[in-house]
Amino acid sequence: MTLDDQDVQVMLDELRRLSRERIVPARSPWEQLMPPAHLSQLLQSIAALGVLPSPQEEDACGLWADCLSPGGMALSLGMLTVLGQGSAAVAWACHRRALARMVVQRAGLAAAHDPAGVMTLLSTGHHGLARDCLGRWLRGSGPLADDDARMLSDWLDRRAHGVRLWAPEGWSHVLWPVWVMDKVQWRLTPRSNLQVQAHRADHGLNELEGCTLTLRHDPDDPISSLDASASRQLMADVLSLEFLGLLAISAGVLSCGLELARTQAGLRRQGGCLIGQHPAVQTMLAEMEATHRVLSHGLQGCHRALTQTTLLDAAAMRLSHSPALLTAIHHTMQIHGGMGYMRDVGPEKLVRDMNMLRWGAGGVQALPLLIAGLQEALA
Amino acid sequence: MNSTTPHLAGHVPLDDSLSPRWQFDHLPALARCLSAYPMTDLWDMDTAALPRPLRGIRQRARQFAEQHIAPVSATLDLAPHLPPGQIHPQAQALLRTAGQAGWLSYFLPPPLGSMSWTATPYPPIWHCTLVVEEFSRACGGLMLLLSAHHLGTMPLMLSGEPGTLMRHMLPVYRACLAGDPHLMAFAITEPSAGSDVEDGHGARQHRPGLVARPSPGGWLLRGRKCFISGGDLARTLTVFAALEGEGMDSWTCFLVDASSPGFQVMRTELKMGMRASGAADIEFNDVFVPHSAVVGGLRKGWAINRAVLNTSRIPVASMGVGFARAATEIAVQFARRYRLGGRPLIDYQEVQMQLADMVAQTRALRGLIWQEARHAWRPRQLQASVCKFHATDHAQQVCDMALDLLGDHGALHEHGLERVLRDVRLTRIFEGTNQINRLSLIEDWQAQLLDPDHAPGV
Repeated sequence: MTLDDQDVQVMLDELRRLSRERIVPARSPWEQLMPPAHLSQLLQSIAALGVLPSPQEEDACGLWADCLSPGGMALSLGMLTVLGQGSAAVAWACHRRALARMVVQRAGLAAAHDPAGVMTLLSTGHHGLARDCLGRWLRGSGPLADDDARMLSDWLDRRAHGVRLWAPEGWSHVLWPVWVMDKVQWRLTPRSNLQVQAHRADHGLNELEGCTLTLRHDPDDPISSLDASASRQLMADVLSLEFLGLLAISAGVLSCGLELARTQAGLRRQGGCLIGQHPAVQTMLAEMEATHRVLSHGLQGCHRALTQTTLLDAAAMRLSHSPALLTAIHHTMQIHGGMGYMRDVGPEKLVRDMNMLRWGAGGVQALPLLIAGLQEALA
Repeated sequence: MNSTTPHLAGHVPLDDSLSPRWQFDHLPALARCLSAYPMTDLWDMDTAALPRPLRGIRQRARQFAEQHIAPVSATLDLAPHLPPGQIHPQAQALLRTAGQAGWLSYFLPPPLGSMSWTATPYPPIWHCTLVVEEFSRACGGLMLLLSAHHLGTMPLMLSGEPGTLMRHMLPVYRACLAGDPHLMAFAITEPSAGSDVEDGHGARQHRPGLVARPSPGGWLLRGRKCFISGGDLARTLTVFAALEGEGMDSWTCFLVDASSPGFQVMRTELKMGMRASGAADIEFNDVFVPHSAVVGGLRKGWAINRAVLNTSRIPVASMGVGFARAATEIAVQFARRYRLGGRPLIDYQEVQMQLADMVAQTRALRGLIWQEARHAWRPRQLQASVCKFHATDHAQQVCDMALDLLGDHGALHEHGLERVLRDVRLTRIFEGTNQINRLSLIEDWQAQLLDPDHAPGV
């Protein structure tokens, strides 16, 4: 199905309506977590809109369903931004579920997927992005060095290392990369084959279940059998969509922060005038606006087939936007003064959720070495 | 030289002939007087450089923090939010222990307080920064629970009235030392005025929210205060109110007994961090305050308020150092322990670079604070504000760097790092936002800036 700009806008408008009517009210009051049942209902409503098609559906037009057309990418990135503006946790859950669907199809695991089950996805290993080894392997020029193989094997060793997962309660399967004979394959593991250790408390995305997963034993889970080229391409695409997806969600979170900050600036008085008239506050608002615009334009630049946006592009975008996003979301809190620090006002939740977006998918710290590994000049 | 001595990847072992340590050991004696390669722990090194009495304070504070504060930190951070006036048993126990150990009374020497006489030649603010750093490192919330009390006592200290100290400070200190913690709190913030009560320009425009009306024998206070640290547990508060019919120039400090009729803690805030300490919203419904409870004299409140902020902002900066240090130490321990690709993270150069930046930043902030604190007998507004905004902004950055290093492992409460991040965030807001503190620097610098015949030094 080919989507033009108008199709995309109609679908995004529909999602905005749902967000306004269902997601935004569900996140209030800020200090109370959305109950799991409520989150589940929301996700069902979102799925009913066509945002989250099942792996069995061919030619769907939901989130990450079509990464080969400008319209498909515009729709996906737009959806995540809209969802992020309502709730980062809802957006994260949809993003990971949709990515899982995409991978299940491309990895040839669709038949193994139980339609009644709820899949989620982990895109990386237990810490970071395997330094520059992953980038070199993805580049695929020349034989794999022993050190690189050792690193990647360890990075994706699911029995030796626990990995963090944040997903809606009741998830039934995790789709995650594993290292098999010098290639990344995808393993669809049911929850029953995992040691799941619930977290006592997490920093953000608290609407989701936070847990640490370890593969319990050597089960007979469905696993892909991609050749070397397909394996590299799929891993690169997953990481690209991860990075772009998290940026799109971040744009939504920042958008929410901007709205809160502008409202506060137009209401609160200090020194005899509205705080929005003070240059210190104007500067912060302007920085937020600039960050939002630059990111939005950057994401618009990715409204093209995924084949035209390299992993290097996506990684570079995430690396360069992250510091400004962090600063900008903190401005939301700073503009609110003491109120902004309180859990019932909003900004502090946005800060915590934005931190989670920053630390997920290998984190931002790991990106420079991934980029170094990807670059031809370092062959 | 082949060595089996453990060493970090990318660095020669200490017994390698190209190691500076090995080389320096083989210099002539006279040269060794000028070039050394000490292996002392950095904390020990800094402590040894302090004057002896302050050395003792720092050591005792650290010991107390590790023994009593750190063990209950995680529990109190996750504890359910309690109604005003209620306190978690572990927090109550800590207050009692801290009081008996002198941590609630160290701004004055005996017989009034627990400051050592040998430490009296050094500014109390310096003592305080040492203590606050150690306590912050262990737990921001409990540090604030203990420190907010000192903030509450500051107007009495700065009143210039020996009688006030004897009548009001002495009983408070004695109760604390006896294991009956009598907490005080400092109440300036009003619902319509956060920054306006900390900045002259803002105060000039502000219509006071808490007003004192004359009454036989004293005053009746009516209005509201908010975000008062420790205000939910304080028995006595130093409360600032304008006199009826007058503006902020009339601000007066009143010593208010929390058990007075009309005094009510309406709620305590749901804070992002520093959760072991409450931030109270307090209503005053004609609370009677006798004339004898006016601190420093009528219409002296604004001056006392500003003096208190000058006193408190350097220790607040020290909170930042405590948090930055905690974050760095947690990151170092994580990097030493956690293995990737068969090696500890600390073996990797990019991790070493990150840790080096964190250590440098933390130590630079401490250097700034100690430099100002050592001379802070009469802390200057400019210096206090510089410390406050610079240290806390950069401490936040150090904490962010630590979390970047841990990645999503840092999101878990059990590592303690995300709590440090939540705690440090408040230091950029209270005691005047960092934006207000920047303006506070300029306000204090006005005389030099406006003098046409003088090029201001920095």
